[in-house]
Formats: sequence, C-alpha cells, structure tokens
Amino acid sequence: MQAYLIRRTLQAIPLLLILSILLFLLVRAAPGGPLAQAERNPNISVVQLQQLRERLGLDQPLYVQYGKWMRAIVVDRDLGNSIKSNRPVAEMIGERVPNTLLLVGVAFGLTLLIAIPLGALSARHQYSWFDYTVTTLTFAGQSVPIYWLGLMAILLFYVWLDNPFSGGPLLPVGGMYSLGGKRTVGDLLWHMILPVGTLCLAWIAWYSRFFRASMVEVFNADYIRTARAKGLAEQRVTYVHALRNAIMPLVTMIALDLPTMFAGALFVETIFSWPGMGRLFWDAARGRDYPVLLGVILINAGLIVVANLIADLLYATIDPRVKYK
Amino acid sequence: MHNSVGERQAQSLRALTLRRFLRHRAALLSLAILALMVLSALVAPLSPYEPTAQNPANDLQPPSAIHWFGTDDLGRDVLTRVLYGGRISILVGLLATLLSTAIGVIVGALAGYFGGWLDNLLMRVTDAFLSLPTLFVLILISTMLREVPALSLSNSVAVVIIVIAVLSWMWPARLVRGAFLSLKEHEFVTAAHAVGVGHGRIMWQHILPNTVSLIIVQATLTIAFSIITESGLSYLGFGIQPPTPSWGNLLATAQAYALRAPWLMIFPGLMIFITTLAVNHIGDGLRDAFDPFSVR
Repeated sequence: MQAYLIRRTLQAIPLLLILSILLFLLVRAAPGGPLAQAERNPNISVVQLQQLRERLGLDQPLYVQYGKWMRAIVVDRDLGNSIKSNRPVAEMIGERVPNTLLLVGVAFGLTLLIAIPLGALSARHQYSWFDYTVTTLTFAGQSVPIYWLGLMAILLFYVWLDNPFSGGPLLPVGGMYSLGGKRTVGDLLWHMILPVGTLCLAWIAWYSRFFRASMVEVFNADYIRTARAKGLAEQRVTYVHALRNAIMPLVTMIALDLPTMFAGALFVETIFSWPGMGRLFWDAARGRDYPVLLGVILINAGLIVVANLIADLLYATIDPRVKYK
Repeated sequence: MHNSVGERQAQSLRALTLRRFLRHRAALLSLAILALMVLSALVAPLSPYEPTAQNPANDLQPPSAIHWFGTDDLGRDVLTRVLYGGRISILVGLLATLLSTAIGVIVGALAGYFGGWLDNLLMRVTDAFLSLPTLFVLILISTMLREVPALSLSNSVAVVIIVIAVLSWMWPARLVRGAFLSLKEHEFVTAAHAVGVGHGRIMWQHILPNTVSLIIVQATLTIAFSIITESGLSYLGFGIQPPTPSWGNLLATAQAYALRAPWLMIFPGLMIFITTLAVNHIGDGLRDAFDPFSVR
C-alpha cells in the first residue's frame, strides 16, 4: 500500500516535467513570443532589441533559460511581472484565487447535492417517466454551451423579470458587490445567484448523468443481489449499499473534469464580471499580458496534476479492491 | 426454412448496424435536423442580404417579416449572418475533428501496437496534454498565433481548427491505444505476422478497420466539443474574428445590446445548442448501433 502511494506520487514527477517543458516551449519558442510586440514597434532600434533580449536572458541556450525559469518558479515562487501593471504575477493571481474558489466551491457543492440524489433516483427507477425526464434534460444540458446559458440567465433575470418592489432588474449580473454599497454577506450572496446558478445547471447535467450510469452499474453487481437476497429493504440497498460504491468513481471523474470546471469558471467570470482567476486571464489575454497568462495556466495545470494524484491516492485508500502493483 | 433468428443471422454486420441505427428515432430525427442545418448553411448566398453589408439607418430592428431574426448594431441582417456563421462553425467542427482524430489515431496506434518505451513516452505526453487547462491554453495559443504577421487575420479559421485539434487528440489516442493493445493479441494478427506481413500493413490494414466503430463514435463527441469550443473561443474574442461571422462571435456583440436587442443573443446560441444536441444524439444512436450486444 505504502509502496503504491510512493510510486504513484513519483509518477507525477515526469508528468510535471513534460508539462513544464510544454509550457516553456509554448512561450519561448513559439512564434509571437515575449519579444513579438517589441519587434514590431518601429520606435525600438535593433540595438535596444538586443539589449532587451539580453536583459530577459533570451540570448542564452534554451535549456539554460528553462532551468532559470523553473528555478524561479519552484524556489522563489516567482512567476515574473505583468507587462501591463508591472506587478508580480503571483501576487495578482493570489488576490483572485479566493474569489474563484468561492464561486466554484459553492457551485460545485450545490451540484453534488443535487446531482447525486437525482442520479440515484433516476437509476433506482430506471425507465420510469422520472428517469426518462431526467435523462432527456441532462442530455440536453450537456449540449448547451455554458456561456449561452449565462446569457440566457441575464436575459431572463435581468432584462425580462423585474423586482416587484424596486421596479429594477430582478437579479444583479455584474461583480461581487453592488457599486457604492456596503460589502455585506447578503449582498455577496445576492450577486452569487446567477453565476453560481449558471455553473450548477451546466454541471448538474454532467454529474447526474455520470452518477446515474455509475449507479446502474453497481445495481448489477453481485453484492447488491446478495443484499437483496438476504431481505434488506430496497431503501437500504439503494442508499447504503449502492450509493457508497457508486460514489467512488466520482472521485476520479471530478479530478479528470477539473479542466472543464476551470473553463466554466472562465466563461462565467467573464460574463458576470466576477473578479476571479478566469476574469484576470481574459483581461490579460486581451492586453496580451503573457506573464499573467502563463502564470494562470501554470497554476491551473499544477492544480490539475495534484488533483489527479490526490484522486488516485484517495481511490486506493477508500476502495480496498484496487490492487497496488 | 424461414425463421426470424435465421434471417437475423443471415444479415451482414453492416446491414444489421444500419437497421439498428434506423430504429433509433432520436438519432434519425437528429440526422434530419443536422442535414437541414448543413443545407441552410450551404444555401446562405440565396439570402437577399449580404452578411457584412452595413446599414446603420436600419440598426437593432426586432425580428420581422423582412428580417426574420432582426438586425444587429450595424444594421446587418442577423439571419444571413447566422447562416454564414453556420458555415464557419460547422466547417471548423468537422475539420478540427478530422485533424484531431488523425493525430489521435496515429499516436494511439503506435503506442498500443509497439508498446514498451514508445507507449510509455506517448502516454506520458498524452497525460501532460490532458492536464492542461484546455480553454486557457487555447486562448493563449490563439493570442500568440495572431501576433505572427505571416498569419494574417483572415487565417483565423485555420488557426482555430489547428488549435482545437492540438488540444483534443488525447481522447481518440487513448481509445485507439486501448483497442490496439487488445486486438494485437488476436490470432489474426499472429497469423499475419507468421506469413510475413509488415508492421505498417498489420497496423493500418488488419487492426485499424476493427477500431473504426469506436473511432466514429468518439469523433461525434469531438465534433460536439469542437463546435462548442470554437463558439466559446469566438464568443470570448479569441476565435473567428469579425467581420467574418461565426455563431460564437455573433454572441459576443450581442451581450452589449442585451437590454435593447435581446433577440441578438437568442438565435446564434440556439443554433449551437440544436447542432450540438443533434450531433450528440447521432453519436448515441451510432454507439447503440455498433454495439453487438445491443437489443435494438
């Protein structure tokens, strides 16, 4: 067991290495790299360009640049400075992470709270009208682009529906707090309804469908037949025996799904002006602020690798059937 | 002797697959809808309006008999732009899938067939690509590529196709690798080796045809992914660049006019939704049809 845990952890190292090389090459060797803007600027002379290249260390061999880049990230936690604001990228990201975590955390918690019972009920009453409705809706939900869902939410709750008391729009569609207002928890929650709701709708479709499939598979297992044969109530079979086993594949699914979740956050933060990492990335991309773009990607990629590692380790610990070889 | 079981066995696998697909009503309906989408995109030039002809005096008109989907902020006919946008969006979806599937099949086949260090290396690279936050990297690459003067803006369609393919080949690769791993142990492969057939011929002519059904079903998923990704990227401003319309960049301008012209947000998104839904249903139907254990 311990050997497995150690080996699995060590396996993450070559992955991180390949990943970092990929990202490094992307930025340094690809066309349109760090000097593209300067090169096109007629006010910058060839000599100045050369100085800039030396100052940024771009005249050194690639592997030296890579080594320095890695050292700065790992040892100094230095992701470079923003081209636009000249602030440290690590600091800029650090400010935004809590906002993204709040949005994604609440949305994902709600998603699981709704999707698991939905999937379980659907699987238990397979081929009933309830199952049919849920399956149809979730299939449709998987085909809706999340940004259009957000736009339709704006249309419904901001443009069409009015607040019966003030006559203004029913729900706010921008930022975390009302402009000029006090930063209260109530105001925050009020602003969270639409972004969180959009993410939830999109995610529930995927997770309830996945969980339904997972439950259906478990229902065919021998131990479920045994549980039924020994006369346990169907309730107990479903919610104790089956549910616990069906939840396990969810752990892996969540880790694998992290890139999609980050993408969802980027769209929702952009649409609803939520000051998180995704919005920071979008703003930086429009300003071609490469150090910020790369910093956000590095952090996200690192999170994905770590999440997959944790999922595997967790799976090995909670599922005694996993063989540690 | 005529009994139903005998008749069923007498059918070729292809006929059986086709019959099972034809019984999947949602898939058939979806096929019809998709055909309609493609057809309407093809006949877009029949529209009396030009997709990029501006008419500021006629801006933000609500849907009417003259402009079925209304007009946008520059007085352009939205229906015409949606039809032309469909050309781009569907084209990107298909070509990106073709490229992505080609890369995936080659990587997966090599890894699964030869195994060993090659498999190890290719799968680590696949894992690395799967660990990338896809959308963020898409945005980064398309921003960078657009800074290269040699690739002019008019090439943004090619840029988007390549970028989507480069970030979606991993799923077909894993699938094909798995299929090759198990198929290469079969007798027909051993027999081919025994009579001296080369590796290349065994891979592409003996094993690959057996994985076609898997690849096709995966490709439908990739088409849906590509269409949603292209429109998302274009919506954010990093995909197809205006004035060339795509379903995604039509939505991008729409948000600013949410209050004055809400119809601008509805139609392009509806097209993305319907197309993706149809493609997913077709994929579902194909999966059932190809499944030898399906009861349909």
